Amino acid sequence: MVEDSRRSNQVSSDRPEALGVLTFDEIVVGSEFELDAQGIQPDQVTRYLRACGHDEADLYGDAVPPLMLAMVCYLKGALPKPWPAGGLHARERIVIHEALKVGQPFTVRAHVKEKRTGRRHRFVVFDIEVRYQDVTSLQIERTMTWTA
Amino acid sequence: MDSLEPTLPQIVVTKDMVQAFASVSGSDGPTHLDEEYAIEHFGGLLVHGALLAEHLLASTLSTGHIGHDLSGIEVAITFRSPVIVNQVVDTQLEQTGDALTLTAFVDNRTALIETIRPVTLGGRA
Repeated sequence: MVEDSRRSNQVSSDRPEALGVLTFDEIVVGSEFELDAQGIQPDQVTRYLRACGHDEADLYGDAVPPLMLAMVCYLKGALPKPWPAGGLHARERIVIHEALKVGQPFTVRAHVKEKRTGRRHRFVVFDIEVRYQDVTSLQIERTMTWTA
Repeated sequence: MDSLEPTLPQIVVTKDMVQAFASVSGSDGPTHLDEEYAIEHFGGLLVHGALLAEHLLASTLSTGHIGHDLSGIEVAITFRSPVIVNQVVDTQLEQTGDALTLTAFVDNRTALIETIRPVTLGGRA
C-alpha cells in the first residue's frame, strides 16, 4: 500500500516471511517499533471511502480520514514479523490532534504497552503515535486479540 | 441519553467492499479474504471492524452531526462481535452531553460501539 522503511529496537527486521509470525510469547512489553511512510494519495482515500460505503471523496477535505490513518495496517508494517492470522481488533482509542494532509509523509511509532490473558483470548495493547514533521497527528491505544 | 436520529444509514457490506477495503488498507488476513478459513472459524467472511467504524463516522459527518475539523476529538471504538459479509447492519446515533455514541447492530446484537467526544489537547479543548 505504501512504501516504508521499518525500524525496531527489539527484534531483527530481516526477512519477516522467513521468521514466521510474531507470537504472543515473543512480544516484549516496552518493545518499540517505527515506520516511515510515504503520503497517502487522493485515489487511496477515494477507494477507502468507497469501500466503507461513501462516495463523497472530499468528505474530509484535504485531510486523510483519521480512522484510515489510525486503523489501516501501518502497525502491521512496523512490526518486525507478520502478526498471526485470526487476530481481531478489540478496542481502539484514537485522539485526533492535527489532521494529516493527503500526500504528507508521516511516521508511525508504536510500543507494546501491555500483554494479558483473558478468559477466551490473549490481548496485546499497543500505544501508537502518528507524526508528521514535529507534529502529533494521532495518538492511538489499540487492543488486539493474539492467536499465536 | 437523547437520540438525535433513530438510525444512521443501514449498511450491507458486500464481499466486494471487503476486498476493496483489504486492498487499500493492507488488512488482508484470511478472516476477511479466505472463505474456507473464515467459514471454519467465524461462519463466514468477516467485515473489517474498521470499515464499519468509518462508515459510522463518515455517516455522522455527512449528516452534519459533527463538524469536519476533527482536531481535539477522541474516538473510542469497542468491537463487540464480528459482522459477516452480507449481514444487514443497523445503526444508531445517540447524544449524551457533548458525546456522540454510534452503535452498529446485527439482529439486535451489538457489533460495534463508537463514542466521539471532544478532549483537551495541551490546554485547548
